[in-house]
Amino acid sequence: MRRVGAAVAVAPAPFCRTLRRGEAVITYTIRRLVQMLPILLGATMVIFLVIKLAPGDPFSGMINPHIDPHKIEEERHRLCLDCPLPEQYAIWLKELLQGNLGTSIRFKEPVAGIIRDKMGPTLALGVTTEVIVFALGIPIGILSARRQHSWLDNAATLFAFGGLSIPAFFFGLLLLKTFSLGSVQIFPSSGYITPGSSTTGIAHFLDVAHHLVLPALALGVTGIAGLTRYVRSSMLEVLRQDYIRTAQAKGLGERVVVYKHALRNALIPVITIIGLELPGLVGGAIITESIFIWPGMGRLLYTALLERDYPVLMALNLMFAFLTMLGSLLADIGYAVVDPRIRYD
Amino acid sequence: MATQLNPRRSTRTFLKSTPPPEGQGLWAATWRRLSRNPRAMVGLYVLIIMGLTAVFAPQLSLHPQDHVNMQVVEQAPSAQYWLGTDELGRDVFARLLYGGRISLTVGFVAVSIYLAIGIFLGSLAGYYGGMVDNIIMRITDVIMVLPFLPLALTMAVVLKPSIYNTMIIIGLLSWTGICRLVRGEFLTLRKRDYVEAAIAEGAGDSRIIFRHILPNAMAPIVVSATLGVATAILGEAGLSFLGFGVQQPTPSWGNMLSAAISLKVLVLQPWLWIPPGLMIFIAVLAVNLLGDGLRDAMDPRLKQ
Repeated sequence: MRRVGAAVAVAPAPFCRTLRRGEAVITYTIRRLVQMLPILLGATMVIFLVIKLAPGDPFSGMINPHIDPHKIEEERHRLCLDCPLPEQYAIWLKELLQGNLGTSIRFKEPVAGIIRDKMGPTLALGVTTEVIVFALGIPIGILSARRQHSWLDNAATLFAFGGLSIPAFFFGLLLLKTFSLGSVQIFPSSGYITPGSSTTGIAHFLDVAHHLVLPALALGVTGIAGLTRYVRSSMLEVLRQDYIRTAQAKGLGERVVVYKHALRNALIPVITIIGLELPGLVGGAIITESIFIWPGMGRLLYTALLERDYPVLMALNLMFAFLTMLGSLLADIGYAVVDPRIRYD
Repeated sequence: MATQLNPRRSTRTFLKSTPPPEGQGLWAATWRRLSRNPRAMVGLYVLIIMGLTAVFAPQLSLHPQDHVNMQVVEQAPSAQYWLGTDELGRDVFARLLYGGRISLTVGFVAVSIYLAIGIFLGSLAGYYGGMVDNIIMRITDVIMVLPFLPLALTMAVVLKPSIYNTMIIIGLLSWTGICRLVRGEFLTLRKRDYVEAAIAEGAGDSRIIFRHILPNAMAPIVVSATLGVATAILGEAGLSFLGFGVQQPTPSWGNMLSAAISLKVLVLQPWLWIPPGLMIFIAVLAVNLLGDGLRDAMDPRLKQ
């Protein structure tokens, strides 16, 4: 009787809490989005100023005896390249808000289209890397914490220090030499698909996956190492708590305690890692894509640097900044949704 | 008995008569704990050895680092050229030692630059609060949202790549972490009784900031700066590897590694790129081990 009574009395409460919580998460999200705007505006300013530090403008390189210098001056004036900086910034920002990212100096095409073409391969690389990072990092971290100070834990710690310290490009080069260009040649060294192949469906997918293995490993090694440490310390923290001792005292097996009781709480802070990994992924992608000649945004940035293709550089920097913000926003929201202890203020 | 009658005097005599026990200051205690941590000590010794080889590079190398000798081009390691020669017949071993000078210097200078910026802005924000804090923190937010490598590379292209620009760029883009950390420390320390006491005694702002608060915020700053050296070395290596950092003929570990862009070097001449890659790896690993040990030693509560 008592149990039923208690259940009836308590039942509406969690429901109300969920409702109020849902509302709170939505208001929180809106507030974060509003806070994002000035930061994004600031980022456009910094990027604009950095590019404007470059000497000259698109016309300084044009020395053509057949064009009247006055015409060039006029053209400059028409494009407002002789205006004061704030005015130039305002014009650029207006175009930006209308989706016009400018025209590439090298390709003579709209930047937006060029970037759109490169997004697929970068997305594929990023997602694969993250999958590898989580598939390896979480189990190793859990095992490390379960058997603290065992040989396995020590090996994982050693690996984590190594992974956090090895430059991604050095690791990438080692992978290339070992698995692709040396005596063992099991993975392709470069590109997105086998040149000349026109496979579709499952064969195409397998071809891309085959090309993805080495770059994703090179890009992921730091993440795996970092995540291992993170999961380990988070797990150790949770395993010390009272409710774990209660579970053990009830006579539950170690597996149940670790995987059913501890793991859920230990993984909550890991959500933030997904979002915070993005900037590192972006930086790493530039180097990894250059080594493996991966036709993505990182490689596009590298070629734009070599060609001094400023409109492309500006657009890519902006996109990366936007992605970084989005990542941290998603991480915060995810954290708020999953963990009811979080307060929104 | 007299001491009980005059508690005030007794305290004073107590303080005078018993100086703090030997070796109980923050630094002494840190060192004591650090020296018991084998991992951290390995890191420290490796760094000291690396520093020494960098300083004594001229004495340690058999050949001048920039000596071009077309008769010994692309030779494999031998007794005369311990790590072989590059495409201009330069001694790789000598370049590796001199490269260490450059890479380590860039790391330390870049961190010094961003420490100066971060501590300055962080102190201002944390101490004065209000409007000042708001402005500085919004700037920090903006810099934090800009991913490091793409913007650093763009700045390098705009400012012309060079060793000085490399240090400046890394410094200008990496101060946000320290700034937030210092601000946080100031926010908590500012409310401590001894700071209130200093204010009541009429101490000026700069005296309170530099004499009373900053010394007590030193532990996390030192840990963060140490680990920052590792990031800065990796940053320099990344920039130089892509060709936008330290420029040839000046050797740095990063730009030596970029020789491996050529397939021939990558596959057939590993002596040209594996040694500099290993040196970056070892240097960064040593700094990380030391920094990790310092964190445990300075804040034993964090240790697991």
